[in-house]
Amino acid sequence: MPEAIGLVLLLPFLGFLINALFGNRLSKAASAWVACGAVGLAFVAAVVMALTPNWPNGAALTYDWTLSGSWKISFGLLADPLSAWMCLIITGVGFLIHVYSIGYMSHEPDFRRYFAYLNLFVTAMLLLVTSDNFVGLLIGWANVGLASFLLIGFYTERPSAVAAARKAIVINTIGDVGLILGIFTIITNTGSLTYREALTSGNIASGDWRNWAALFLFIACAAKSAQIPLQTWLPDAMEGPTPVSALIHAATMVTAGVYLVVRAHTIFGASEWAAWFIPIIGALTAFYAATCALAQTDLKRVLAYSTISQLGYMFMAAGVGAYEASMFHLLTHAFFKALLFLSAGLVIHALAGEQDMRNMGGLRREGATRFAAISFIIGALAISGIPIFSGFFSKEAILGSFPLLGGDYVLNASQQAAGVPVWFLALIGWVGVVTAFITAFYMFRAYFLTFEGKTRFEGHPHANPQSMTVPVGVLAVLTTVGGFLAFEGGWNTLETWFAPIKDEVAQNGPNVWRSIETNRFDVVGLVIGVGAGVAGIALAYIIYMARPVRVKSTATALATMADSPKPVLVENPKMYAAKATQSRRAAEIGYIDRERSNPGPGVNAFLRSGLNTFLLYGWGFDLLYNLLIVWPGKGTASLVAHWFDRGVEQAVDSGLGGSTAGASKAARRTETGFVRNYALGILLGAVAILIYVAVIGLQR
Amino acid sequence: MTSITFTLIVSAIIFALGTMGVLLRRNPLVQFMSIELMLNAVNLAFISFSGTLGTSEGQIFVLMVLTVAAAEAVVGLAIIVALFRRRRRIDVDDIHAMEG
Amino acid sequence: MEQVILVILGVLAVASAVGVVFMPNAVYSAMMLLLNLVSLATLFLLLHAQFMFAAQLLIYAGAILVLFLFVVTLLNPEGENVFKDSKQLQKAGAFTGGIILGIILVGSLIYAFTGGPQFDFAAAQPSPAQPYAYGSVEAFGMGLFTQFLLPFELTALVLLVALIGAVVLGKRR
Repeated sequence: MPEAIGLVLLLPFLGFLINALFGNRLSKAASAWVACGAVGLAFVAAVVMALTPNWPNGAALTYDWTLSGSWKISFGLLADPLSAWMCLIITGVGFLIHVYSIGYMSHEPDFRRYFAYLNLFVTAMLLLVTSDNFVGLLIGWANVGLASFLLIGFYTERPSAVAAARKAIVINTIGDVGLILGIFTIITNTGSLTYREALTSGNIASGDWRNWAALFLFIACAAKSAQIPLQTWLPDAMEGPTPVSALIHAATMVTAGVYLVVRAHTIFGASEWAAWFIPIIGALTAFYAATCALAQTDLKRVLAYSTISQLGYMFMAAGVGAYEASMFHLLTHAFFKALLFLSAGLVIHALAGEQDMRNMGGLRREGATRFAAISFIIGALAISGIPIFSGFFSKEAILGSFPLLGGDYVLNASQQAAGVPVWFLALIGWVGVVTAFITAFYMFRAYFLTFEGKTRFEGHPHANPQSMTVPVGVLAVLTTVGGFLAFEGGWNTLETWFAPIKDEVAQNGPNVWRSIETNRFDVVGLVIGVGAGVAGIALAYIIYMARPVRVKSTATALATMADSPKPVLVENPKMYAAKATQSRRAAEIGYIDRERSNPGPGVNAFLRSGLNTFLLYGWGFDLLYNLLIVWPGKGTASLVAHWFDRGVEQAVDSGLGGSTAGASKAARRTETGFVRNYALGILLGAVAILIYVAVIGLQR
Repeated sequence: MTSITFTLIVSAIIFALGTMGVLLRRNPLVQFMSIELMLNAVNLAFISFSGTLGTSEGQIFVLMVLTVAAAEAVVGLAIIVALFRRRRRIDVDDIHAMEG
Repeated sequence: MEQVILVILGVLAVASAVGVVFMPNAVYSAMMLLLNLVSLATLFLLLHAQFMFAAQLLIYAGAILVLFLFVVTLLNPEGENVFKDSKQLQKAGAFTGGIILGIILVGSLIYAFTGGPQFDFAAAQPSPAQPYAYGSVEAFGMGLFTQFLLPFELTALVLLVALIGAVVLGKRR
């Protein structure tokens, strides 16, 4: 029943309205029920919709928005395999995270605001994926950015959270501008903005515009999905509550870029540039973020960089036309990354806000966090690509799309047109393999630091409520079994699922779709892929468990850090430790004051410091952007404020203002207040017009 | 000279006189009378054209003008009476609260 | 004969209009207005607008002018001489403006009816013969209650509003 798509979109919106408008009058329980119920029912509706997607008959619900004669703007919702796929992920994982939030946010005074934002996000994200045209996509695109902004800056009293939110929305706005430019390019060259007409237009067959459209759209994708060079906002976005990080910054919103590439794949597939730059950026980002994750000490930031890295994987796959593999990895990533974040959330919740892995350790032995340890290790195994876990299947599907060992690899139409050589794709694939190795390493480094080894935290972890553990359990099951949808060379349910979309491409445009089915079963490839993961885990075990390196707790580490970037870092670490035990909220504030309110080391410290700092601060991208954009911008602004504004102000004050005052003083004299004077004015005006008319008449 | 020419000229002259009356007199009552003059001049023009064209639309317009004139006189005179009640004097030049 | 009466009435109307404007006493002005209205009404009759003749006499001369006279006698305003107005600029402007307006209107009328291409009034007559004689009450009524029914009904509303307005303004507070 494709019409259920309307309910999918409407229910979370109603939840948002209720929580936003009447939140103050609702009890916490009622607010949570409304929010979770809305998303849960939306999931049911999405399942109903997904049972019978009616592609290629087009929009399931179309509403004529503006009518003017024969010209009209329609707004429609599209029920097709792709949107159904995304709807299921968003509402399904979203529902679990909503439920989880009840427990995680229970101490929060702004409980209702939180749920209102969360429902707003779900609404916007669903609009993004269900719209049948680019304008609806843009509205959803901008609104998920807004919801993300609101939720990153949820702790409004924390300066670093506000700064992170600002950073996120600024970078996302760059992406929005790219999307708008892309939409302009598309409507100019195809004459339509609905997917059905624009993406199957005959103009796609040729023209330079396809390259530009793909480039502009990819700017949007890069900003939303945190790809190089617009990736710097996502690690900072961890300022938001952990469920938000799980839902928005891991499972759903950041995958919007992948969705767009797959949705607009006729344009991306037809572009010769895209055949080059999407795999390059994807692989580069995957590798970059994985290396950065190596050095992070904050558990959530490890996961954030890991998310960036996995998104890079998805783009790598989408860049070579392996859209099925890309969407497959999107699904499994939603499962295991949400699982990892929520497990991290269990730990953070149990430790009253502590996020620094240096202050954890040995948590597996604690009763309160043993469950978190199990779920975390399931997620870590999945992301490392260990067989039977879901990540294995999708990661193999992606790596299998690349000719790791050369061989008889069939280039698709756009790669042939762009002249992409096989060795280039092999290189990209090997970057993916190396990344898989690093991924397994840093993920188990995080696991060992957090859950094994010596206990480094103070106090006693307290138990998590069931509303938090049950969703984690469900996600753990999904992470374990969610991958049996497709296996290269074996079976492929995804192909049947996405067949209507694939056929649409085959009819209208270059065939760039690379089904998982086309990847042959390759023992060597399998060994390489799994071997990378196993090797990473083994190395992590050797370094952190077998011969454990000495990990200091933050207090000691900070006190002894030789090249501490900012004096604030060594300022009374005991104070923060004391704060950490006070309350979770205060601890988060304290933690943030300590670490994130400084954007990184200065240039000198950065140059003097070693590889660790280089990786810790994300290869210095923040510093680079500060040097190139932020500081020059601020300097120019203050210069303008000091010199230009003041001068103009004076000129305006004495010149414009003075003359205006003088003129109005003179003009005031004409206002005598006598009615007869005004009437005379009317008469004189009428006479003047009459004279003019008479003169014109005489001249004719 | 046909009759329409003559009546239109009469109408034009009365209209001009009416405007002068509005502008010259300080007594609002006489200003109103002058406005009635102008309205009547227009009525005369309407009737002249209506008669020449042989259709009754002009006359119907005159009826509308009559109605509006009556309404205007009623409200205007009520305002004047209210003013008189407050100031004991009626002179439009006494009222210049709008002076800039 | 008709032409003579027409001219006499026209001159009477103009002369009485002059009287309205320049008579110092408001009562005289009102009487002059009465003369003007009556002569205009008679002009209407000469122009075959019988119904409007009656309406003009009844509504203007009968109702509106009586109202004017009533207010004038009630308020008893002092006389004024327009030529001794203290506002020289206003006086000069009003005289010149009014005279120029008259000259332009009259001049353009004369020009329109004597020089240049003439408008053919006979050809402008509506082609289907009117069922009722022009100026008759039937013809007038047909127009008023068919084509102009809505405006006619709206005039009733205007009158009602004026009535309420007068009551509100006249109320003592």
